[in-house]
Amino acid sequence: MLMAVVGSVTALFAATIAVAQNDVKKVLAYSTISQLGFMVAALGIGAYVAATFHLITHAFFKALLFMASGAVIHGMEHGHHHVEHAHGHGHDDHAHDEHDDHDQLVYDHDEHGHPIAVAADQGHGHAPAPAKQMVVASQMPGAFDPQDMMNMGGLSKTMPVTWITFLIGGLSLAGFPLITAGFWSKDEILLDAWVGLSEGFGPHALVFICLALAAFMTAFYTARQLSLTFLGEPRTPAAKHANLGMGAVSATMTLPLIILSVFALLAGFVGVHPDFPLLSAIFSPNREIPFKEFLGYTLLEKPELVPFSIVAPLASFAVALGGLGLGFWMYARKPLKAGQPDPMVAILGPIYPVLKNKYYFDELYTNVIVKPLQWFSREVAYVFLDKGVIDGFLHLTGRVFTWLGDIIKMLNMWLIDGVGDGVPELIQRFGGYFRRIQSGSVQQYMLIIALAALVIGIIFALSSGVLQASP
Amino acid sequence: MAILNIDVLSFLVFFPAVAALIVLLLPQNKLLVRWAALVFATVIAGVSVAVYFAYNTIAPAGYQFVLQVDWFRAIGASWHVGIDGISASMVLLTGILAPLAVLIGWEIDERPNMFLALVLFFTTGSMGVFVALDLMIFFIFYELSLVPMFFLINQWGSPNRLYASTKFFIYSMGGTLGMLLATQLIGITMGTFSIPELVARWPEFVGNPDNQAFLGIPVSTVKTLAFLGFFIAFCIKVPVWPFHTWLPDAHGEAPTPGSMLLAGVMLKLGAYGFLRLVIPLFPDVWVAPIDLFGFIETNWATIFAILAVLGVVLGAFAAYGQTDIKRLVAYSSVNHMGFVALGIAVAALAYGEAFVNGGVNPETMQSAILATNGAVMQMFNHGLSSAGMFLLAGAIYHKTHTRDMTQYGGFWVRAPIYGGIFIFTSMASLGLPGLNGFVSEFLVVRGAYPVFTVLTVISMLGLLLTGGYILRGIAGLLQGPFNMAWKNTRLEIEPRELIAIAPLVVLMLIIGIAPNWVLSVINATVTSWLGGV
Repeated sequence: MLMAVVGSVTALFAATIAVAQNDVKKVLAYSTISQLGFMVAALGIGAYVAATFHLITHAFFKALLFMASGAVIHGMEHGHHHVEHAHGHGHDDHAHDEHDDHDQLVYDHDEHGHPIAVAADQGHGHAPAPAKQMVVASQMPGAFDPQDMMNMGGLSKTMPVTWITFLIGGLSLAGFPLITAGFWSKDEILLDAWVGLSEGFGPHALVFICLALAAFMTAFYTARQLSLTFLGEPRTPAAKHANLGMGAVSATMTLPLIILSVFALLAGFVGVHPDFPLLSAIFSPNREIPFKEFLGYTLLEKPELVPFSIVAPLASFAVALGGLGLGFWMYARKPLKAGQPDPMVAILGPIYPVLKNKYYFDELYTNVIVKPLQWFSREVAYVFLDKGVIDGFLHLTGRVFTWLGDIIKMLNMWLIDGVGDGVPELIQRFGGYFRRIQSGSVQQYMLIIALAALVIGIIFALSSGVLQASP
Repeated sequence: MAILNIDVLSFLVFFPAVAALIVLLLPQNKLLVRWAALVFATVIAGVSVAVYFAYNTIAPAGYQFVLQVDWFRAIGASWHVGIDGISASMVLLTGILAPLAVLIGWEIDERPNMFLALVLFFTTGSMGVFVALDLMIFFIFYELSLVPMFFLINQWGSPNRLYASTKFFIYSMGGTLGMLLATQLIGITMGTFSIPELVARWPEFVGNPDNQAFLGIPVSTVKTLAFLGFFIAFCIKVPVWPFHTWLPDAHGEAPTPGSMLLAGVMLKLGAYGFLRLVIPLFPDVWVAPIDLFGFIETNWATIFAILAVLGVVLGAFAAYGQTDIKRLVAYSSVNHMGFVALGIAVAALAYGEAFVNGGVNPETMQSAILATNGAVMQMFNHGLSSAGMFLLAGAIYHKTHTRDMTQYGGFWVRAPIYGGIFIFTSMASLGLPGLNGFVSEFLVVRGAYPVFTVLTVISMLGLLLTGGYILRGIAGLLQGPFNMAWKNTRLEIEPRELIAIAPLVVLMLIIGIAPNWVLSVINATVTSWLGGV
């Protein structure tokens, strides 16, 4: 029950955050949290097989999406770099936001006909070391952010392989019906929830509603991400020159994307319900879900087959296509121009900043945990306890003893003054003798001490037989 | 076993002193002095390693390489040395750190003869403590180790060195005052200073059999007072909270080799003292019930465990609150030595109860053995990682002349090798599984959990914060935007420093993966010691 609630709320909560993110990777990150919510909710209603199924398909398409977004960022960085140099002010420090392999990659571009970039960079390759790699661009205010989707747009033209694979991953995440893996696994969870709901279980109803909503939003923000990143016209010069004529994203980067997209499409067919119209005849002819059979051996008790209901796939169809449709309608029909605000801002109004700032959870943590922790560490544990109480006590003790010493010293002087002249004279004579070895230099003292210690030590050693070995 | 016809342990004690004198008297030629000191220290290291591996784990319990010759017969003190598994590992640690500290000491340009001689002389003091089997010898070397360290801080330290060295010296001297009185009390009462003999006889001492009194005072009071003399002295040295405030000052102001030896070796003297003396000599005092404020029933072992956990937690908090890199590492020592103290508290409780009741249930004893193993292991591991951390903190201080982390930042881009080693060492210090710190902290926690359950759970908070301050150190030093003030400073680690840290890094990894070559030596001794109560 608790798991079901936590899972559903997580799924919905993270999906709403993902809707308002502009960072290409943050959308995916919150999407991951949301999808994990799906899985936990599924576990909460006992849909163990469905949860595992979604875990596996999600692994394929989310890995694909993250790698593809990495390719996008890589392409954007190169586009940005290219633009900086081509415009002749490439000697600013923040042009050097690249990684160590940067020089190497730029030299590769030579073959692709970008002599300006190469020339500019050669100049830099021999620049004095300190100017290099000093500052990460994203940390400078107003610096170019290669992960911001608002800086992208139209990348489908410059990065076609990445576009197609990203599209496949995105559709799978959105649960595009029938041909993507994500559809089958999400459908399975919804089916479990629906069957429970129709039998009158409360948690199942909650899970079904939350997850259907979350799935709708998933489809929506995926369409938003795809449109903002790949469709329309480039919104910055960097996006226009992204990937430098398809040279920056190498085959080693695209090959994994292609492999993963095959799985993102086909991996779902191992979990087709035997009562699913038409397709079940192909993928589960033995009236058993192959994935469930596979998983069944690892379980203590093989789960029973959930009866099929047409409502679940219909819901999946509806939310996936509805979300995608709405997303593309908003963002792809009239792609954003440079500088144009996100239509979400107007639609959501005051809610938008809340979502954009992740419900202020980071601020909450900062204020409730981090700041008090820092304050306690610095002010209580260190300044108050150690410096104040303990050291204060020590210093007080020290002062008391110094004061006592002063009193005794005064007492002594007064006493000695009272004694006759003979004794002081004697002391003076001895003092004069001793003064000669009291040079005040620590080294000399040390030397005398060390010599004395050695002499004494040798005498003892000789007399005691230390220098003879033990028998 | 003998070297040049001299008993090997006596050689380990006296050779550094002789070497120190030679280095002191050498002509003021930096190159010559440095190499001479390094060669001498390497000899010490070589002999320590040889002794460690010649130590026989399978042999029956007791001390090995024992040598006892008459020295001060009038008071019953003799030159009595020998090692068991615990001292063997400490001798090894001292031997490993000595040449590394000398190598780092090469960076001192001012009076190098004296500096390197003091470093070597310090080795004499600590070796003497670890091999001593005579209470008088133990005390003498315990005090002797203080002197060179005082001068190292006082003469070659950072600007606030006078305050730090005075505090360190007076604090330590104040602690050993009670220890001296207790040593004399025990030695004169028993007529001997031999530790094995005292361990056998002193706990049974009842004074006047008629009224259980000694010099007219109840024996239990006498014992408690003697106990406190040792207890406070060693608490200061470990340091156990709240006796720790000398440490951040001393560590912070000391020159890098001084910090390395201070953290790596000197703190172990205190922990070693607990294991060698306080637990075996006062088993009944540790577990004697104390009525606090009339309603809290406790005993010294539990109080010690509470202080240990306070050290773990508040040490971690204080470390988290630092902006000074060396103070951060210093407080991390308070934090890590807290685990040593926790392990010792478990050992004390189990040993004491076994002594008083004639045995404890096997599970408690098993936990105590684990915790003690963990404590000794933690002493060894902390010696490696804290020396490494101070080396690295000192390396960056030497180049930037500031310890303020807010003035660092982004050093990784300019010092990638340094950064990698810093992170590695930090992770070892943090207790990342696979590196050395994890092994010992796990053992301590596993052993302490059944005995001090609540306290161990609280100490986990300290472990969490350990991650916090370590990451804070890494972030402050290596990450973030680069501070342009250092753009013309060479920040990368120097080859000499790299050579000095390499053995530590290698050992951290080896012990993390295969700790048995150290653990088996410690375990043989701990098992027979605790099992034989």
